[in-house]
Formats: sequence, C-alpha cells, structure tokens
Amino acid sequence: MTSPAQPKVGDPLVLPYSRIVGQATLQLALEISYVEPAVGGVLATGQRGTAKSTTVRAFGRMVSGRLPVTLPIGATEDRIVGGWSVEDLVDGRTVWKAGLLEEVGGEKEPGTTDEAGGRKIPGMLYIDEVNLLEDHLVNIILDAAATGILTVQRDGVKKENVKVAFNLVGTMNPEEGSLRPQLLDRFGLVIPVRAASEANLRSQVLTEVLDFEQQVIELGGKVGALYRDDNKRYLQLENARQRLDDVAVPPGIIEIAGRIAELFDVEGHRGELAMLRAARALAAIRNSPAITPKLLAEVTPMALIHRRATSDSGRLRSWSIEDDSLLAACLGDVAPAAS
Amino acid sequence: MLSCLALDSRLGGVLFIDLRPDLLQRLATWLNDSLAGPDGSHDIVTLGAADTDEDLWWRVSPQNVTPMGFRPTPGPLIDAPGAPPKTIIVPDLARAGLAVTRAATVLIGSWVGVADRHGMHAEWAPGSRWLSACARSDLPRLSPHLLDRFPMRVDARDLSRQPFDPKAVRKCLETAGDEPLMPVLPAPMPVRRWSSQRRPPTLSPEAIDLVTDLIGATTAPHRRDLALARTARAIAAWEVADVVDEDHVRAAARLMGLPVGAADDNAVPTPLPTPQPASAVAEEVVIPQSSNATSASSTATSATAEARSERPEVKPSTVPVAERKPTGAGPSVRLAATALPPGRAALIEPEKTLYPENDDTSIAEYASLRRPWQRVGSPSQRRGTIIGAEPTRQLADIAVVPTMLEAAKFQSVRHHLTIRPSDLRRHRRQPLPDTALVLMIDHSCRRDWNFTAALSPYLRWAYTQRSAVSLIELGHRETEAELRAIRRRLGGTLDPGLDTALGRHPGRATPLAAGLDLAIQEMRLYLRNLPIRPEGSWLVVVSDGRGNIPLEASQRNLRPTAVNRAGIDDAVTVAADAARLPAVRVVILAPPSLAHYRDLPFALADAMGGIVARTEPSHDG
Repeated sequence: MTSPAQPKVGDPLVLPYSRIVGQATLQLALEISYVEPAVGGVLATGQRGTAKSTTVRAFGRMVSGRLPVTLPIGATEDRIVGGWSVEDLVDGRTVWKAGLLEEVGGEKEPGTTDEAGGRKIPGMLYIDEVNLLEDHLVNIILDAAATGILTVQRDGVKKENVKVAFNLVGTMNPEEGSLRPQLLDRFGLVIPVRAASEANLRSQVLTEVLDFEQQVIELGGKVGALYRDDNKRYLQLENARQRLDDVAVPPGIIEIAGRIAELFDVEGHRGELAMLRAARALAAIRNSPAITPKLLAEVTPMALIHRRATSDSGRLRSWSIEDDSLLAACLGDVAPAAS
Repeated sequence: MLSCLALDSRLGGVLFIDLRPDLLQRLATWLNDSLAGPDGSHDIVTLGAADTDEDLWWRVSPQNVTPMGFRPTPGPLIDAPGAPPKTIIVPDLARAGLAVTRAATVLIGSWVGVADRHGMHAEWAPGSRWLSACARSDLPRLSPHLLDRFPMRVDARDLSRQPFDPKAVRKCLETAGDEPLMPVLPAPMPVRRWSSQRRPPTLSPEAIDLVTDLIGATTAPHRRDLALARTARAIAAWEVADVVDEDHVRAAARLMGLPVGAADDNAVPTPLPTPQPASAVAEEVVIPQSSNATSASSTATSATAEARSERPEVKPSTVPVAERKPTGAGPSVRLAATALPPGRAALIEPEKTLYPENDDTSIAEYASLRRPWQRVGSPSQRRGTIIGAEPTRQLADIAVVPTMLEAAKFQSVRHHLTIRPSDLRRHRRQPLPDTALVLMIDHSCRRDWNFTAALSPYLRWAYTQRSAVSLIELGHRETEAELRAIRRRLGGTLDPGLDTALGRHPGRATPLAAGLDLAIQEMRLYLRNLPIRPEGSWLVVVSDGRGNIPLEASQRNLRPTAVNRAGIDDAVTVAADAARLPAVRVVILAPPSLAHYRDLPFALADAMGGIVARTEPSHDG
C-alpha cells in the first residue's frame, strides 16, 4: 500500500486535509464514502465561505494524489461525455478525448476483469456549485449515474456501453436555489455546513491557513512535507477499506434501520441502505467489529436529512433537536446523534 | 488596500463602492504596474455585461504557421504558468453578465481554477486580482454569494471628491482633457522584487484573536476573517515587520471599512498623503536584502493556543497607520494604500453600508447566479442570455468560437481552413419574456385588507405567461427608506421575494408618487428592452390613492414638514405618464371599503387610463 503522489512544483495547491478545522462532519462523510463507495456521493450544502470546496479538494488530493476530477461551472457537454481532441484535430490527427465521466475512472475491484464482468470501485466526480449546473448537463449525469453506462453519439462517433463508475461529490450554497429531487437523491450523504462559530475555532482556522501559506513560500513550492499527516490518514482509510467486509451486521440492526426510516417518513429503501452502509464504513474506520446502534445513530442525519418529505421548493429541512429526540426514542437508550 | 492586494494574490479582489467609473481604470493600471513581470509585461482585462462564457474561458486565435488556421487558446480568465498575474476589472458588478459573475464566484479566492469547454481542459492556481465597482444602492441586490468573494471593500465616494483647484480646471480647459483633475496616485510598488526577497511576517496570537474579535459575527464566513488577517499581514510586510501585531490588524480593519471599536470611531481617518510625482515616491522604495526573522511559523499554532487561554481585553489603538514605526529589520516602504482611505461614510456606520449581506432584512436578487428559468420563445429569437451553441444553416447570430472550432477540427483534412455550412453554429439563447407584469404595492392601505385574493388573477396570468415581473413596494414597516419606493426585479411569480412582500406590515409613510414614478419607469424599460407583444403587459397598482409624501420629499429623502394634498396631487400628476405607455393595461386594486377619500382610486385610474377593481371585504385579516 503506497501513499499517493505528492504535488509537484507549480501544481495548484490546497490546504492539507489534516489541517482542515471545524468541518469534522463533512470530513467524516467523505471518509465514509471513500471507505464504502456504495454509500453514494456526498453533498455539502451551506453558507458561503465555509471551506466546503477546500475540504473536498483537500480530501480528493489526499486519497488520489491529485486534485479531484472537477466538473466546473460552464462546462460544455463534450467535456462531460467526451469528444474529439480539438488540439489534435487542428494538427490533423483524430484522437478521441474521454470526457470527465470517463476520466473519473474508478478503480477495478481486486481480482476482477472487465471481460469477467468485473465492476469498478467508483471514483469521485466533484461538482463545484452543483446547484448552478445547467439542466441538460444534470440530465446526462443522472442517466450515467443511474445506469453506470455511458452512451456517446456525437461528432460522427458512436460509443456504446462505456462503463463509468463515479460518485458525485457536490458543494452548493442554498442561497442560489435548491437541487432537483432526482439529483439530490444521487447523493448518499448530505451535510449541512456552517462556519465555525466559536472564537477558538475561528482562530485555529486562521492559524492553519496562514501557516500553510507561509510554509509554502518558505519551502519554495517543495511542499511534500506539508502533506505528511495526510498520508497517515490515507493509510488509515485504506486499512479501513480492507476491514470493511469483516464488519458484522447484526440481525437486529437492519430492523432498527427500517424502524428509523419509517419514523422519518423516508420514501423507498435507499435511505435504510445508505444508513447501514455508512454505519458499516464508520465501524471500519473506528475499528469496530460490528455495526452498533450508536454508530447507526451517528450516520442517520447525514443519510436521511435529504430523504425526508420536504416542500415543493426542494429546500432541505434542517435536522432539529426534535429529530434527535425521535431518533433517541427509536433507539432506546442510544444517545442523540446530532445537535 | 491595492498594495496589500498586489502583495497577496489570495486576497483576490477589491470592491469599490460608489467609485467614479473613470477612476477604476487608473487604479487597475497602478495595480498592474505593481504586478508587472521583469520585462514589464502586464495585462488588464475588462469584463462587463456583454461577456459570455465563450469570451472568458477558451477562444480561437489565428496560428502563424503553415497551413494558416486557427487554434484554441486560453481566454483571459485562465492563467498561463509563470505569466505575471492579470488585473481583471469589472466596472459595474451589478450589471456584469451572468458569465462574469459566475466566473468571479468560482475563481476569486479559490485555490484552484478549472475550465472544461469545447474539448479543452485547463487547471491552474488563480492569481489574477479583481477590481470591481458598484453603486451603494445596488449593493444589497447583489447575490450574497458573489459579495462574499469581495471581503475587501472600500467606500470610494471620497476618492471622487477632489478639492476645487482653479489651476487644474484651467489646465483641463487648455488640454481638452480632465487628467489634471484626477487624483494623483503614488508610484507603483514593485511587488515582484519585494515579495521574492522576504518571508511573510507571522501573525502573533494576539493579532489572530483580534481578527476574530473584530469580525465578530459568529456566522460570518471564514473568508472575511482570512481577508482581514491577510491584509494585516500585507501591511506588516510593507512595514518590514517580522510579526503581525494588533495595530496591523486594526489598520487592516480600517482599510476594509470594519468597525475597530468605540474609541476608534472618533479617530481621524488615515490622512490622504500629499500627492507626489511618481519619481519622488519611487525613491522611497527600498528592497531589503534579507530578513532576520526568527519566529518560526510552525510554532504559531501552539503559541496561539497558549495565548487563547488568557486572552487580553481588546483595546483599540488610535495610532494612525501613517504614524506607525517599522518594527522589523530593514527600511520600510510607505504603504501606498494609505492614499486610498475609507470614506467618511464608512466611519459612520461602516460595516452596515459595506456589508449589506450581514443584514437579515436586505433582500438580494433571488438565485441571481443561475441561468434564467425556461420560457417559451420564438426559435429565431436573437436576444437573450446565451446558454450554448447549436448547429445552424443561417448566418444570423453566429457563435464565432464554436463555429471556428468546428472548422478548425477539419482544417488539416481539408488542407486549409474552410468554414463549411455544416460547421456553422449559432448561439442557443434563453428566450426573453414577451409579457410583463409590474406590480406596485402600497402596503399602507392594507390595514385590514388581505389583497392576495385580488392579486391572484394577475399573478396566475404572469405565471402561465412566464412574464417578466417587477415589484415596487412602499409604505411598509420593514423598509429602511420609508420615504421612498423600492424596486425589485423578480425571477418570476415563484420568486420568494413576492411571498415576502405579501406578508409585510403597513407603515405610516405613503410615498405613492415615488412608487408610481418607479412603476411607470419600470414598465417603460420593459417595453424598450423586451419584445413585449401587444396586450402583453399589466401595470397593477395596489393602493387607496392616499399618498402623504410629495415626490420631491421622496427624491430628497427628507421628511416633509407639512403635506396637505401635495402627496395626493403629485401621485395623480405622475400617474398621468402611464396613460402614454402604449398598449399597457392598468388596473388599480383598491381596498373594499374606504371611510375617506373614496374617489381617489378613481382619480388615479382616470389619470392612468385604467380601471379600478374592488374585491368583496374579507374577514380573514
């Protein structure tokens, strides 16, 4: 197991993941999604200037050694599904350039091959300001995400059954409008993000960011050492991935998940599955041999907050103290999961 | 402020409030000269209302090799590796195009920029500095998301007020220009040489605590804390200090128009230094050879933690920036930013005026960074926001970049660059609304009347037609300008702003004439700028006609001492302009029962060439 590559001189830098302050819940959700990709993607929604993008980019850099594949605002369709490489065409060569959905790639599951129908472990496709994404692009992404198959018919080229495996990780500011329910449902976990409110935390944010900027200047761009703690965390997450299959799912825990979903009026069964998968990943991260009601309670808000009934506007209902009480009552003597 | 921005790219940009438009270019030139590369290369990019994604991210340029052709090249927002940073100016942020505001939102202060368009990909660390201007009255309308990208704001009204100088005026008359009346800026600061030879100063634990104290609000975005800290650090760097102390933070807060404390509110603003010829100031700029800084940045965290447990009481300093002595090794550079003090208005109520998004009652345009909602329009429409490109066989509204890129793909195959009909692409545009609803609500007439039912037929019409909708409000308790009417352009009838308006409480002042004036002007703008079809516009006025603020009082924002009938008469006079609007249907929605002045709604309707509609009295409050 090796650490991801370090940034080279001139590469765009982001704050190391291990130096992010005050975003523990978002970090936990990203880690859960990495350890158990079947959970689905992560959506961070919250007010401006709360380091949502920084956290996601830092996480992507930690686990892959490069910045995450990003679908930027204003991207065109050809860059999403693929198209001719314009630079090559200008020089008279015909080279197909894979789109971002293919570029995300994903890892092959160990011991499997494409021919044997082996599936891929989904990669991470980061969509910055996901609620500003154009509707027709959302449709393309939804189709590919739902089927795992990308079909391209453009510029005289037909590519069928291109396997794609990606988890969406999005950040958005709800002041600019909400997401379509279909897209919201593609995110396994949703985290409402707030700015750190305690003075001590705010000071710590400042210290970490300014120290990092200073150290980058001092090291003249040779910044590998600044990411040492990231590598440690990465190895811990890799170990958690290895342990994932060994985490036991006690029979009663599935019933509890079902009861919770019923209690919060969750449609369909994706909610229970997301809860159980997230709890299993959390158990692997915490080195717990089995899913416990407490672990289940901890992941419930992030797995269900967007799956509860809401108004037509799509505005997320916040997770309240009453929701905590309901959850606690459902779990008996289990402590509340969120405040 | 500009010196700080020049020194630290992470500060991103500065927003000037009420800046004279012609000064922005001068400030940009100054900043750009400070940022210029060793060969003096520099680049100022101006963005505005007409810029589209095609202009900003990737372009096509002619190539100077055989065979001649075109090649995709990075647009102005993509920073080339090793190139000196650009200065990007947006002369009016409130009127900048959607593509510009969205680009600003994703690039300013970001660690990474990414562009993926038309088969091209780029990823870079944004280093461009953004300078933008905006009128104070427009500020609350802007998206808080966009405003967040400009934590550094300057009240620039005073920059426009130069002392009267008859000699300068005479010189202007002789030269046929206005250069002599322009404020003189100091010599550019050579940032490149300066920053390459010094390590940035470290923030002391006390300075960090003061930053969080000054920003104060527990919900304020971290970007503002960071901007204040970075500005303080830049000030300390220019002063050759090794450590950023509390005075640097206070100086930075004054530059940003943030309140520094009670004692400081009475302090004299940093004086505007006497303008000096560029050459004279340039001699003061001395580059230090080395720094004897010893404070290791890695110790800052632990030191901060220790100091935090015994945080000293915040005692604002009244030492002006200009009087501060350098605290570090080497000679200091006089901070050019002191030439740009915050205006006097900033000292009165600085945070509120410069940071309207802090105020929960301010209402920004709803979802202003999103593409406009879908409307049905003629396929041949040639106006409206560009939302992409599509194949075409006609030469109208050609999208140049996609067309050239399409042709460029095949230039080698065709042996030279030829644009064939199959290459033609035109802009795919968001259709413009062809109907309009201007709704003027006088809340002061709604004492016991719920007018939502009376409005609903017009709102339903506007919804089904996907009309352009404007709301003019007056006479409610929640307004800060009770003598004036406030205009808001809504995203449609589903805009939450409309819902908010329907729930307001009546106030006492009724600036009806000002409201009608604004409503008529708004309708006129719609008729001029949109392809409004005949009978496709409604001007709906909810009022009992009892204006009590004369037009002049509203215009001057002065409470009248005696009104009599002036408020009513002015309203009727202004209303007459509506009758001259072509094909606009006017309706006055009046309360069901009026104890006094029952004829006023009819007088208004007569003047406007409209009708009065009255609903049955409702008993639901």
